[in-house]
Amino acid sequence: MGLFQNKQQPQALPDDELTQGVQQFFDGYFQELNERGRAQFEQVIEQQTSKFQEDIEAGLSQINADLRAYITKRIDEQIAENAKSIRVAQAAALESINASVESLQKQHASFSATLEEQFEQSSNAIKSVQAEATKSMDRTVQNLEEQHRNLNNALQKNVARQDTQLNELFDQNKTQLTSMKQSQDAALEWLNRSIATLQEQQQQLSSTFQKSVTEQQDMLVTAFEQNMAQIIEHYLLGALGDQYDLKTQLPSIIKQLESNKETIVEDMKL
Amino acid sequence: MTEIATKTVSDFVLPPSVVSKLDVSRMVREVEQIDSELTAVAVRAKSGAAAAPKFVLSEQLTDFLQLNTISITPDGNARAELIKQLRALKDKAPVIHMTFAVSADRESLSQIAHWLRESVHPQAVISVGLQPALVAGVYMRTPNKVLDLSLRGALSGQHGALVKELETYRGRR
Repeated sequence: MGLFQNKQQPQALPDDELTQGVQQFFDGYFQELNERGRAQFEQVIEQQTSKFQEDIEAGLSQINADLRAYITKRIDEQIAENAKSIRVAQAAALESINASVESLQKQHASFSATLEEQFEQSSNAIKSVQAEATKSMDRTVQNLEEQHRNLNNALQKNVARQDTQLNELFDQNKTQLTSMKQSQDAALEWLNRSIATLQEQQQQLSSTFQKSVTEQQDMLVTAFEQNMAQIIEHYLLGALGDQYDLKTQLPSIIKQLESNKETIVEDMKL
Repeated sequence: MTEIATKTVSDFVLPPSVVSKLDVSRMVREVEQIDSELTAVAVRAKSGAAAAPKFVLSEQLTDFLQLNTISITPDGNARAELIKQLRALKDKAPVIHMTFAVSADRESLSQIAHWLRESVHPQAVISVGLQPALVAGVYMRTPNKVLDLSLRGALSGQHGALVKELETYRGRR
């Protein structure tokens, strides 16, 4: 065990007991030294370990502080650069806007000039059109007056012509009325003749109708007589149905049986 | 009374109270019941408990027995012969169907049955029907013929005569 594990054991002399006792004493001494050394080493290692940890923690805190300072410095630089570029962009945009405003002002001026020119042209055109319209209206009025005169003349001519036509028509109607009166006289005469004929036919029809009515009456009476027999039968059947019981009918039944006795007896013999 | 052995079915005469075939059947059944009772009495008599029964006969059976001068004897063979003859009577009795306009009462039916047995056949029975449309009289059916002796039949036969009478009356008017 330990540092002296592979140490070759001295060969014991058979009769050297003293040497053996010394050997055992040294073995125990070395073992004790071994244990003490081990404890010493462990203590030294623990101390060094704690110191090493402290050094590492101190280093880490230093690194953090340095890193924070570096990052802060970089961010400030970047912000400064950004502000610089923003200012440059603002100046460029301002220049562009100013240029646009100038361009718009120029366009406005040119447009206004164009509008004024067009307005002047339109005004001139309206004036010329109005002049032409006035001339045209004057011509139309003259035409209307001329047409009115023509119409007046035509109307007078028409009135005169219709007057002559009406006179002609009156003469024609007069002759037609005379002929119509003659026709009416003839129709009246024909109607009188027709009335006489109709009266004659009516008399004939009346006599025929009376004859037919008499025949119908006879026929109905005959049918009534035929049906009357059935009615009387029906009445008798209804009236006598419940009047007689069997005891009342018995003499009549016996009498009828007596009269048919031979027939019954003969049938029973068969 | 005469012994049953001397009477056969052709010798029987039905009384007026026995009208229909149903009456004959009822009579046969009554005789059969009496026969059963008498047989039972005879058996009991052999065992020592003899008690003579008293039978109350129906009017129809009484009339039948009196009219034919026969009696119901204690002799079992004679009773069996009577039952046999009565059954033959029930089967052979000629039936005449009579339809009336009103419901037939027993007394009238008895009179008609009496006339039938006196005049036509001594064993004739009636099968009764009801037909109000007949008005009055009787509609009769024998085995081979039909006789309409009703007022309806008489009127239907007189239809032509009635028309003739009306025509005569019209001519007079």
